[in-house]
Amino acid sequence: MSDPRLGDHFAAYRDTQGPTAQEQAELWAAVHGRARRGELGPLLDDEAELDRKAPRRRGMLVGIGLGVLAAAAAIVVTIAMAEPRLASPSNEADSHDAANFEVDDPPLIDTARRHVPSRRPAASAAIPTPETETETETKTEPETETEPSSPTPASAPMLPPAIPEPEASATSPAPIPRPRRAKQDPGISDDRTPPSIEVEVELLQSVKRALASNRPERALALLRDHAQRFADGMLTPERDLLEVRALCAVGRPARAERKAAAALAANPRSPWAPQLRRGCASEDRP
Amino acid sequence: MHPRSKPRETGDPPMTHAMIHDAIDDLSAVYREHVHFAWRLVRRMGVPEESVGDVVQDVFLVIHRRLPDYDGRAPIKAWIAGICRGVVRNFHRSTMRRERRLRLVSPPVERDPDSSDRLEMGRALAHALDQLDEDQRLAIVLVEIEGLSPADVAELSGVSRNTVYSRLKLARKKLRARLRALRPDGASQEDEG
Repeated sequence: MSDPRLGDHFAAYRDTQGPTAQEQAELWAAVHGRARRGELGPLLDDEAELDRKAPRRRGMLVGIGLGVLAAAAAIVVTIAMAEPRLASPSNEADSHDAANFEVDDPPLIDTARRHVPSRRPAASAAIPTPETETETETKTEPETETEPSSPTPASAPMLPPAIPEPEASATSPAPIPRPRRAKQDPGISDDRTPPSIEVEVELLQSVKRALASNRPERALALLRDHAQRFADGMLTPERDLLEVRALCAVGRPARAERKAAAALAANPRSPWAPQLRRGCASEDRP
Repeated sequence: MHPRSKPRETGDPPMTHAMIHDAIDDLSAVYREHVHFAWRLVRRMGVPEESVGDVVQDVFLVIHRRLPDYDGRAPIKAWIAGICRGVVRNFHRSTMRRERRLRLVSPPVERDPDSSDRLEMGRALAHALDQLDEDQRLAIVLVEIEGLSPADVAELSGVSRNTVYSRLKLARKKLRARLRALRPDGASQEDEG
């Protein structure tokens, strides 16, 4: 710093222009609550750029995330795993999303049009204070939560609390209310999809990531979670196919075949019927 | 810090809640370390004071979503700065139809009454920063206040390092002039042009 006076200002600015302790606590309560509810935040214009700056492993299917997020709004589920292709953009914005797909990644969901989820609480001051919680790992107790539960309001912590145990938070008496949107410009589209589809999409995206990074056990765990939370979810056919693939990946072809047969029996018109019939042979794709 | 520090091996026991928890746990760590940075940065991106909290919420939700893709190759502050910029763009797009784009005129919020001098210095700089053009402001904030390298800012902004150095030089010059003008002992009102 060549100018000490300016340097003093920079330091003073750094020290005094951040959030107050109360603002930090309120902010974290809101972020934590929204994250636990499965909210994904707005889709950014430049996430493709972020993707480029966050290098991916070869074959890792992270690119699908953004396209899937876009699809979370439109909920147009047209699957094309057998014939990998990019999403078909219907306008320029879509083509931006399509660019986020890996070329060799069959899209889980095709999107008809892009949607940017946008949620804005009326004001951070209206957000309840967060809970004071202690972290308790539940890694060996999967599949007990049906929906993301809300944390327990309590005294406002200065910093983010540890993550609550789901079972404990499930008994919390007073969930944090969903933030309300600020008054919207009538000229701005406000058609939003329920968060459940976003969570579904995000979960299956994680499954694909797990499979792509050779973690089929984790993929299976995630699939079980999806099955429990979204027993009749919109992406059940995709879940079935991913489960077959995960079972193949963990070396259980017989079980994969049984799963495929059950999925076909339950949903003979599954868009993935050909892949399900091929069982573990469906792995040999580009 | 580097998120995703917890080992996640193929042989892990099945996890469902833990997956969610780990993700929020990572988010918590990033939040603790970088909330001040994100908050300060968003404040200097033309977001009205009353909306800063909402915008920063969205920033951290995007961080939460994108964290698995962050591999640590770029400084996390640069990565977060890119997210801040994207979220703020969305914010401006959604608000610019109904209200003119506000330049920050920070209301006097008493944040630290025990150090009023420093508070005043911080506010004066905030005011001076808001008079800079956007590119110069982002460069000076990220380099001088938040500690990123000019190379990081160059990559983030998609310009050459020389351009960043030029922006920094101009920004310093304008800031000095503005701060002189703001001093109560009355230096000449120097205009940035």
